[in-house]
Formats: sequence, structure tokens, C-alpha cells
Amino acid sequence: MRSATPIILNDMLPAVFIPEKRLHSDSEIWLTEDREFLPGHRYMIRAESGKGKSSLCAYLYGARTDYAGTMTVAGGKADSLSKNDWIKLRRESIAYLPQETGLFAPLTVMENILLKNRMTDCKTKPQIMAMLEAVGMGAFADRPAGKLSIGQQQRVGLVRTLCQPFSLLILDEPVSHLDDNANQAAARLVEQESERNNATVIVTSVGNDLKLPGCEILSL
Amino acid sequence: MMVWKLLRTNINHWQIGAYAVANLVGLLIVGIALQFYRDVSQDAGRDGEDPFGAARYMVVSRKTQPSFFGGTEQGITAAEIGDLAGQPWSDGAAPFIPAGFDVTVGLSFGGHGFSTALFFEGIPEGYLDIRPQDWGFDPEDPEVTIILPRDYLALYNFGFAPARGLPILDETTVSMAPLKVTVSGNGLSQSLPGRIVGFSSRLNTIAVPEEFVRWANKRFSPTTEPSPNRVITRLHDPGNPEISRYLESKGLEESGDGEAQGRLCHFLRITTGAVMAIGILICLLSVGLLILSIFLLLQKSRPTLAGLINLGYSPNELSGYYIRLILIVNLSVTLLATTATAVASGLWETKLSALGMGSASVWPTIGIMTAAMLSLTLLSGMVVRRVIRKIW
Repeated sequence: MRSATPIILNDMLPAVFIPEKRLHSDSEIWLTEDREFLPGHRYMIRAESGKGKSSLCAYLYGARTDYAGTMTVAGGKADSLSKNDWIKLRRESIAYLPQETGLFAPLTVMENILLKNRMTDCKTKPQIMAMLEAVGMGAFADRPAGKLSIGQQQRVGLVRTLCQPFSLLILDEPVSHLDDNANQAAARLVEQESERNNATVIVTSVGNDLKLPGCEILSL
Repeated sequence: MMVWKLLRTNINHWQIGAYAVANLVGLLIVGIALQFYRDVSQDAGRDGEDPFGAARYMVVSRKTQPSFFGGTEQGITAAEIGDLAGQPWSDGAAPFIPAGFDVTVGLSFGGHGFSTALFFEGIPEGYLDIRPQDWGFDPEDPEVTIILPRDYLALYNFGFAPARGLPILDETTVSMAPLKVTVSGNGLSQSLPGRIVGFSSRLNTIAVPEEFVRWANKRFSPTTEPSPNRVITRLHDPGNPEISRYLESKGLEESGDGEAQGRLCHFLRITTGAVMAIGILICLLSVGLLILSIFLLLQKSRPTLAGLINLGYSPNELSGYYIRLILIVNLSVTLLATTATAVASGLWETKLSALGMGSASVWPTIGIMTAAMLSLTLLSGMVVRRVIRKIW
């Protein structure tokens, strides 16, 4: 995924929504013509739960394909990409923080992050420590991830997501369990890293928005 | 390293241990049975004897009928020999040429001497189990070369000699003794030098070259060509039960312990075949156990694997960790089983050779075992890759 090519969604809708199509007529993303996500832009996607936020993230990450319509990524149709293409994209172009963070409970915070980082060696260990410090998690580096609170796990998940090169950053409700200060800190880190990568940022929210400046707000 | 630390947590050591033990037992049974089967099928590997593997020989004679009138035809006709040679389990047949003359063999050492009446049979050269150097007969320079059954020497050494206070003789000593062979019949008599040139464990007769018997028959026999009483057959399928049925129907019987040995061989083949089948069954069950364990393990690890794939790990890369584990387990099982097979075959080798059976090289067996484990490893590798690829 070159940063120069936009993501274009055309008449897209999760397959499960098809029988109730009309419920999604107000959406600014589903069932729209040429919905573009431009390189370097930031988008905040707001919706009540059950509107398909996580589905959209999974489609953009190549984890699911149960949708109608078409999606263009990396200059080509998403459904023409092979699993190997997606693996390459996930390592080098698309960073994704799922809503449930996907941390491995038996591993420590640092091990969880290194598990991601070792694929590209994108960050050094001190850089990772600095990022953990920035979101107030520096003291927990050697703590097993399973022993952390949900909010703490969200912050560690965010740092792990940022430990790769990316031109698209997808954050699925990244601050749903964070207080204002932590939200602020997370937003600063996202801003800094996405600017460094000149990346498109797509953040979802059910009401508690990541405090990232300059976001175009879309309702799903 | 870290990935393995994560995946390892779901691995049940008991499961892997159970698979390894089951597979080891199965492979061991297959390997040992296979090697035993190959050893048993191997022809006796004693020095000078037929090196061409599984071929065996059978000596056939007419079933003895009590005869009060004498002169009953006990011979085997040329047509019968031809028929015998044409049987599917037979590789050719040739008659023992009977001698139609009287033979006396004398031996003298020092001043002492003894002589005894003997009988000779002429053996076609292709059917000898040993290849003595001077075998053959030249009327210009007559010397009678004789092959004795190995049993005769044993009989002498263990029965006759100790009772009479005579020296024990070995094969070399006996071969050096000068013999005087007196042939008579037809009103003629002639003495020839003779020599024992070898011992046979196949022939239960006193064998001399075919040429000598033909030559002597012409001169000393009232009927120039007496019909043969015994026929030797080369078998390429010695265990075939058809053989005894055929002999029965033709009123023939196998002489010596050949038939018993053939039956023993047949029995051993059936037994080892059954054992091998059990081994293969156990192996297959252990494969089932392995595949089942793989499914269980991957099912248990599914969330972890899905998480790793979501991080950008490729399914094939993750399969690699499991395949490496299977490879290590299977490699150790193969090493243990092949070593044990080689050791075991060494243990029974001496006992088998005492029974007159040879030993086959252990390498083809090891090769087959390794190949089986290799295909098993490939199969499980494929299963792992398929299952993990489906997690995406």
C-alpha cells in the first residue's frame, strides 16, 4: 500500500446487513459511491454499536471478506489480493489495533510488543520503552499482559500497533476505557507516529473519541 | 523464540509422549518383523554356497512302495521331469544320474585301511550348492571327485569316532585323504584314485560328477542308462503350498528335511507377515493419534494462532513451529527404532545361521522405516498447514 493511493469503497455493505439495507441509508460509508480515504488524512468514524465498525476495520485489514460492493486498496481490488499480499501489507503498510487488543496474556508487555516488532525491527527497545513511558505504561514493561486492566491493555496494544511501518493506521475504539489524560497521551503518540509515517488514520468511536486533532468525522 | 514460547503453552507433553511411544512401538514391530522376514527369506550364506538369495532346492523321489517282487519301476521318467520343470514354482529340474555299477571306496592311512561299499549319484553341475575347484571328470586322467553330505561327517565325528577311539576329522583333513575307488560290474573292474572335494548341506547323497557316472555306466552297467530315482528341482517360491499338493498328486515325495524346511519357511513368512501387519496397524493408529493430537492442539491454540496471524505472521510460518516439533519427535522415534532393529537383528543372526539361514543387510530395512516415517512426517506437515491456513 503506497501512501499515494487512496482507499475507495464502492457501495459496500456487510453481508449480514443486506436484508435490512434501508437501515443504513443514512450512513456516510456504507452503500456510498466512491467513499475515499485519502493518503495522509485522518478520519473519525462514529457510530452506535452494531453498525459495523469492527467489520469495516476487519475488511480494511483483509481479515474478513463477507461484504457486498467493492473495496480498492493498494491500487487494486481487495478481493484480488492473495493471503500472501495481505501478510505483506500487514507487516509493512497496514497497522491495526483491534477493539479487543489481542494481547497475549502469558507474555509480558515487552514480549507482546517485541512479538510484533521483530517482524520488521521497526523500533529499538529504548524507543519502545519511550513509547510505553509516553502513555504511562513504562513501569509495566515486565508485567504479564493478562494481569493488566482493560485500559492498560488498550495503551499497550496501541504501542504494539505502532511498532511497524504503516501507511494506514486503523484504531478500533482505542480509548474506550481510558480517562481524559490517558486519551490525550495516546492521541499525542498517534499523531506523532502517523505524521512520521505520513499515514492515513482511521479511528472508530462509540462516543469516547480519541483526541486526535484534524479528523474528518464520518458517521457509519 | 517468543512465538514458540507462546504456542508451547498449549502443548500437552503427555499427548506428544503417548504419540511418540505408540509410534515407536509400531515402527519397531514393523522394522523387526521386516528384518526378520528378510533374514529368513535369505538363503544360507555359508562360504561357497549359492549366493543368489532366495532360490531353494528340493530333491524329489517316487514314494516308496513296499515291493515283494523286486524290480518294480521306482524311477522317474523324462516326461515327469519335464512336467516338474514346467511348474510355475519351479525353476528347472534335473535328475540325479544313478550308478548302475558297484562301488567300493577304500581308504588307507599308515598301515591301516578300510573299505566300504558305497553308492554314487551323478549330480548335474548347476544344482550343486558348492563349487569345488576340480569338480569334473576326465577319462584320460581319471580321478573321482566326491561331495559328501555335511551330515555324514557330523555323524562320523559325533557318533562313530568317539565310540571307536578314532580322531575327529575336519573338512580340510578329510579332503586330503587319498581314496581308492573301485568300480565293478559287467564282469569288469577298475580302480581309480578318488578325493572328497567338498561337503554339501543340500544334497543327501554321495555326489560325483555327472560325466563320471555316464562314463562308468557305459562301461560297467548292464543297462547303460538306468532311469533316475531322484530329481533335484530349483524353486523360486519354496513356501508355495501348491508344491506339496503337486507332489502328492504325482505320487512323489520330497526327500530329506527340505519339505520341513520349506514348511518352516512358509510358516515363518506367515508369522512375520502377521506380526508386520500388527506393526503397521499400530503405526497407523499412532498416526491417527498424532493427527488427532494435532487437531486438538491447533483447536486449543486457535485464538493464539488467530492473534498471531492478525499481527502479520503468515500461517505457513506458524505451521513451521509445529512441523519442527513433529520433525524432532519423528526423527528421534526413527533413530531409536532403526537402532533397536539393527541391534535385534544382530541378536538373532547367530541363532539363524545355526539353523542354516543367512542374514540380510539391515540397511534396506532401515531405509524402508525411514521412508515410512518421512511420508508420515510429510502427511502430518500437510495436515498442520491446512488446518492453520483455515484459521485466517
